[in-house]
Amino acid sequence: MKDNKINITIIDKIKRAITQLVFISYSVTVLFFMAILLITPFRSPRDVARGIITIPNSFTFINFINIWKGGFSLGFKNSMLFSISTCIVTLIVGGLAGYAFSFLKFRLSRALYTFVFSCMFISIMLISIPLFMQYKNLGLINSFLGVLIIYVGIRLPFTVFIFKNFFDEFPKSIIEAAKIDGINDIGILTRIVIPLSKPVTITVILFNFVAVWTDFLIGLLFLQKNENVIVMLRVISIFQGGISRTAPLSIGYAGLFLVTMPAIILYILGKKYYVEGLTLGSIK
Amino acid sequence: MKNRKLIFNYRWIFFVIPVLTFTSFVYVNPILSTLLYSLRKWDYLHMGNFNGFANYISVLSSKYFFESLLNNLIIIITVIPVVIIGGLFFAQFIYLKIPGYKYYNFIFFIPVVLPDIIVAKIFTTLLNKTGPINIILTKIGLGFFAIDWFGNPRFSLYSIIMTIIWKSVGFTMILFLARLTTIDYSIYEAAKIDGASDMQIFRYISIPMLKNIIQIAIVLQLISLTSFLFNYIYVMTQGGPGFSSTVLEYFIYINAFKYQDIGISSASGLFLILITGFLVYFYLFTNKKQER
Repeated sequence: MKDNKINITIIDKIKRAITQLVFISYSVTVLFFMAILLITPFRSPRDVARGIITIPNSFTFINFINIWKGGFSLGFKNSMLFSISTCIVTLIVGGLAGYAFSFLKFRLSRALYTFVFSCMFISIMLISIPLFMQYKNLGLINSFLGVLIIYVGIRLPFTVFIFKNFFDEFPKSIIEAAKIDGINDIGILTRIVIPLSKPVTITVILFNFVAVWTDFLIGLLFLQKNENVIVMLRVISIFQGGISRTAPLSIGYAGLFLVTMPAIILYILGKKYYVEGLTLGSIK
Repeated sequence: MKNRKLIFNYRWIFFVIPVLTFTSFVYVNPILSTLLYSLRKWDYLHMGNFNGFANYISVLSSKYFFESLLNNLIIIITVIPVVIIGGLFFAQFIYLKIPGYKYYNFIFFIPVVLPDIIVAKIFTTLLNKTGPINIILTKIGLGFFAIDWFGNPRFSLYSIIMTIIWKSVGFTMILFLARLTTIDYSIYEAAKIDGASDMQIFRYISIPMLKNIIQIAIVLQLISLTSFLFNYIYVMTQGGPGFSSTVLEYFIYINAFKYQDIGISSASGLFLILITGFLVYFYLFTNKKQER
């Protein structure tokens, strides 16, 4: 009996050790990855040339200065414009639709919502090719408004999905009371729903901003002029141009750093909203 | 009064029209165009006459098309089990508050929110043939592990798979953990007092609670592993060497922009539409079942 108990505790200990080992191994790879991403941009080009995985012997901002001067500032500006504009348009258009799908009862509601929702799962590559052909014929390649329409279109199904699910859990009794008081649809929306929708708004902004900020494919196909470049394209083109003395690896990493940081900081600060976005609708 | 009610009933149109305009233009229009393009003859990016199903016949007689489909399948059957089981494992133990659980919960969230392009790029520079990982492996006497990760057709696909798993295991973990936290913790404590082992708790309490969300996670993974792989493939291998790491989505891309044959590209695109349609139907069905 006593022997048995000792055996169990030993097995338990071994199990626990193995579990911890799995957890530690994965977290070490993540920390290693982050260390490379966070440290390399601050090392001098010559230091990095010794190898990325070496003990750093320099600390410099020269990579950031060089990449910023080398056309990255333009990409930064363009990406910011696209991200912010997309957020504004999707909030208005998606919010209205989410409101309608959840609050207004009409016959086609379910069918139309299912249609918009399903678009979320369609490959961006697939839709990009016909759009590219059409844009080429219409001369819309490199047009800010033309590309913005695509970004908004791509982000809308998700936005509607999040808003609809949020509104579905909205306290309906408040709305009913307002209706009895004779407030119309617009009044309900602007005076009751919008003030209470702060969390869902943050969730939507978070996802849409980062999605457009880190976009690569649409930029690759639709923004082909130098003055229209977006951040992700600029960074990848540094690597594709071949690593050389004028464009050392450390500059490429400075670019990776500058693109990743806004995204990852937003997500870590807003983790609550991120999880909410993932789970709204899929878990109830 | 009756008239007023009628106006009220149709007010939804103004709320919904903008979103329908955008989605019709960005989704419906390209899908219908794909169908149209696939039935036409193409002469470099210029549309020619109808030529029936010739494009489909070329696609179905191309061995590279099937190689791409097979690669998709390999990615699906290797990534999904690892990501689901790994996610369950991490979620369960973090929920049970193993030592350091707060730290793990924070760290494992990071890969999920890293842009896939960045992950792909950094893995490529690290796992280069002459890259730092291989140098270290050689130095510590594991030289036989220092393979040409992306340049060898036998390994390129698996290097991509490894990267995808590394990035997405935290995603399923977050999904499962979010569900687990809705469970009353006292159930677990009662089970522990009754002497249930970790494995029994997992098998008889967690799994039944997570059944629906596991289904949803599988469908979400299926969709992203068929339709949202472009960034990884483009950055890491460009589908190569040869077609060894080309997937359906990338096959559509190279046919359109490398070989400039929109016909072939659209015909293979139609297969992707069909697969997506099937998966979306499956997803809606899973969700509906859960609502009951």
